[in-house]
Amino acid sequence: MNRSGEIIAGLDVGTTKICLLVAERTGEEDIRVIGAAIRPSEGLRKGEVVNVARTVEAIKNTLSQVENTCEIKLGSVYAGVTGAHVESYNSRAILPISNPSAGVSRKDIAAAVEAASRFSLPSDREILHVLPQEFAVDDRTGIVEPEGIKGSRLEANVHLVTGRTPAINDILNCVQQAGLDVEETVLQQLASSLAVMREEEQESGAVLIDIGGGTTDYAFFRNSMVRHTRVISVGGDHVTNDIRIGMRVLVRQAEELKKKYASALAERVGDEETLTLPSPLVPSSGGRSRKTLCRIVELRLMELFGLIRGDLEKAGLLQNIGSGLVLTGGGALLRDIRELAERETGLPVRIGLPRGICGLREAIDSPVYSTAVGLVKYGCKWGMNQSTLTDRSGGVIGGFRRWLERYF
Amino acid sequence: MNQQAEAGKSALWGVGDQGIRVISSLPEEVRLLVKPAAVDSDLQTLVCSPTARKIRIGPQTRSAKEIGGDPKKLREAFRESEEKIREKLSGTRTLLIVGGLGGGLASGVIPDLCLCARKMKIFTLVFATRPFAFEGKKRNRIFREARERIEESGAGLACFSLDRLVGKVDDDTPHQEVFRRCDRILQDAVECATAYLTAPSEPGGNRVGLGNIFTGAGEAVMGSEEASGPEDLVKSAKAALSSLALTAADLARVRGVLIQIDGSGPLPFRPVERSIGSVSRLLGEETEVLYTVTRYRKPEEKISFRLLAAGVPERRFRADGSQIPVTMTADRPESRQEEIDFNKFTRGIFADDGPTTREGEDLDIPTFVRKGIELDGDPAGGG
Ligand SMILES: Nc1ncnc2c1ncn2[C@@H]1O[C@H](COP(=O)(O)OP(=O)(O)OP(=O)(O)O)[C@@H](O)[C@H]1O
Ligand SMILES: Nc1nc2c(ncn2[C@@H]2O[C@H](COP(=O)(O)OP(=O)(O)O)[C@@H](O)[C@H]2O)c(=O)[nH]1
Ligand SMILES: [Mg+2]
Repeated sequence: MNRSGEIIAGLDVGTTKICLLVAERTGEEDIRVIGAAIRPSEGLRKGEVVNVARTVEAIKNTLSQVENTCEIKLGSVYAGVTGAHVESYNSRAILPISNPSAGVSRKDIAAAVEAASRFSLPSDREILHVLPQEFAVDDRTGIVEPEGIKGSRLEANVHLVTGRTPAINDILNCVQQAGLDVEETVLQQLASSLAVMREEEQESGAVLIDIGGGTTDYAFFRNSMVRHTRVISVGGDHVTNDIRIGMRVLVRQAEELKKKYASALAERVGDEETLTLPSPLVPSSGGRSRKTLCRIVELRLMELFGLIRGDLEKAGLLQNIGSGLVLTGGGALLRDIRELAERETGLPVRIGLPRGICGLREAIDSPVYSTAVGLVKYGCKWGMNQSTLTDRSGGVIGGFRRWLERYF
Repeated sequence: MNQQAEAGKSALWGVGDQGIRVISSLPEEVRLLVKPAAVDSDLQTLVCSPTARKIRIGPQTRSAKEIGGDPKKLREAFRESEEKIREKLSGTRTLLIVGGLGGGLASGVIPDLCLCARKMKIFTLVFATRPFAFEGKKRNRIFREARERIEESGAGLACFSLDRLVGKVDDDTPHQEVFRRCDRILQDAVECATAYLTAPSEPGGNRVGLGNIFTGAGEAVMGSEEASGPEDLVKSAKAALSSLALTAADLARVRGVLIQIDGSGPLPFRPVERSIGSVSRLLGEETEVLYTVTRYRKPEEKISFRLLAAGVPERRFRADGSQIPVTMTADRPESRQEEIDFNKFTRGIFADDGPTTREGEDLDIPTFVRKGIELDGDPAGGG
């Protein structure tokens, strides 16, 4: 098939599914999905690779499916990373401005950001993202674009996302063994945020929460900048496991009960409602109470949102949330989760679906695909072949390498 | 009768989830000898099973959901499938059946399968697990009913008590590891029996031996140890025997033992004699000893010494896994309902992973368990 535009692919290596999305960019804002493949993931636990062979196999499967249906040969992908190994910090550095009378130069900015990111990392860690926040020149704070401003000292504030090198290498190895190059590794919630968040939300203060199978990943944005990111190793699989134990059913039955009958608000379910089990294998489970099921789920999710709330509070961010929470990832599909999150955090909540991309609409119209869509959008925004990197919003999420390139 | 002839007439059916799991991971040699088949009512389970032969119980006209986990309905479903099952069994001389009793499918189907096999004059042996006491009274009742019906059918039964197995488990052994060991025990037992059954002998002679030790047998225990060479065999025989955790009095009352020594090449007679002798001298006057020496192992593998004791005096357990003293009679009610040790069983699918610790709590354990919240009207939840 004749493809005129640039091909960009996002690979979401998740705990429950591996999803490969291929898009063609024909114009500045014109991104069209041309291929999508999804496979169950069996080689990851809580966001990290534990079985390379199975993961490679699943990636290969998605690859051959996409290559066959789209009649293309894929060379490289943008890959998501998550896991408990991810740690983030805010850091800052102050440097003298090289030529005070001429004002801040691009070189000064780059040097200050560099200095702020020269965080002393343990030898088994590496930087995944350097996300510049505001700058200050002498006593003027909150500057977004400091170039040309006159003064003597430049202060750079950055948000650093780091990961454990072996964990990142595991993902890289899997993708490479499947015959693909990795353009860049992107923190999952940052990818997802590109797919589901609105500009106003990132401006006025909002938290993107991606509830996956193995992990819950979130990122706080304000003034269109990333302030805080975090990965909690609790996800939909924990809900399933709780059900499995509390209802005494098999894992797949627990999964089915969760998707079909669970609600995050037990009060919405009548005492008398009973469940027909999805499979005949466990005799003792006939006539179980649906309320019990929902109670199990509610308790787990109350705890999860409690952890997130507590963490945001500790970071002093809670009062800076102007918009609210945006839930995405497969976990956001749980019935009444929006209402529960509102009750537990006291903040407005909405469910985020991937947007700003066309083609195969119905195939990707679910919060499950947010990360994959976000990876494609990331690639389009900061891809190698991009010549113009002057876009202001580029400050929001740029890879380390990419960001420095803007200024050198 | 030579090995291949007997092998061609032997079948191994794994029934229900656990049964199917067990037959799916048997060594290649054993699979070749007994041609395993997966039996279930749930299409999905069968589709997912790696075993090539699959037998679905129950009519296509009714959905699996409708049958429910009810052993009675499953029996009905079985009756409707009986024609098909007879067909699959025709020409079979020996049928080995594996499954975990206490669930719906294995408990409902295995006894009927035994009856059906009996009508067809097929020699039948069942290898099963008995549920943990903590799995509840209902499961244990279902188990007892199934066991009774199997014994009535005349089939041989080797029943491995999970509580007895757990007596040998450390406090921090992951939940899944325990179930893997259950599977492993059934696998070892099936392998032992297959090895003995297909060993060269008088036509049908081996069947008589197995029938003797397994009929009406009640509980069985299994031990397995490895030896790095023939000179180590006595040591591993002793280790295998002590791993059964039987008292001297128990040993003297065991109905029979089946021993398999499996290596990669020919073994000298003396070490075989000495190792088996070290076991048999501890057994009672009436205990039957069957043994077979096989060569299923690969050259780089160690020699294995497997010991299955059948007709072992039964032990009873409380829901917390502690043993009920033998002096306590069956009709005396248990003094109090005891709590399950949650940490041991509640990490579920995360049993093999490192914990997700937050402020001293392991978040992998269900929230309701950690918070000690009673789930209304649900005995499983509260404790
Ligand atoms: N309809 C539904 N109701 C409730 N939960 C659902 C539903 N659909 C999917 N889920 C849950 O969503 C989770 C999977 O979400 P997702 O696909 O976003 O995860 P992932 O990207 O594979 O995992 P991770 O991001 O943790 O590596 C599973 O736990 C699944 O049970
Ligand atoms: N829940 C559970 N039970 C197991 C497992 N392995 C063995 N068992 C035992 O096997 C019994 C029957 O379970 P299963 O095979 O799932 O039932 P069936 O498929 O309905 O026959 C249970 O009561 C347990 O005692 C396991 O991994 N999980
Ligand atoms: Mg995900």
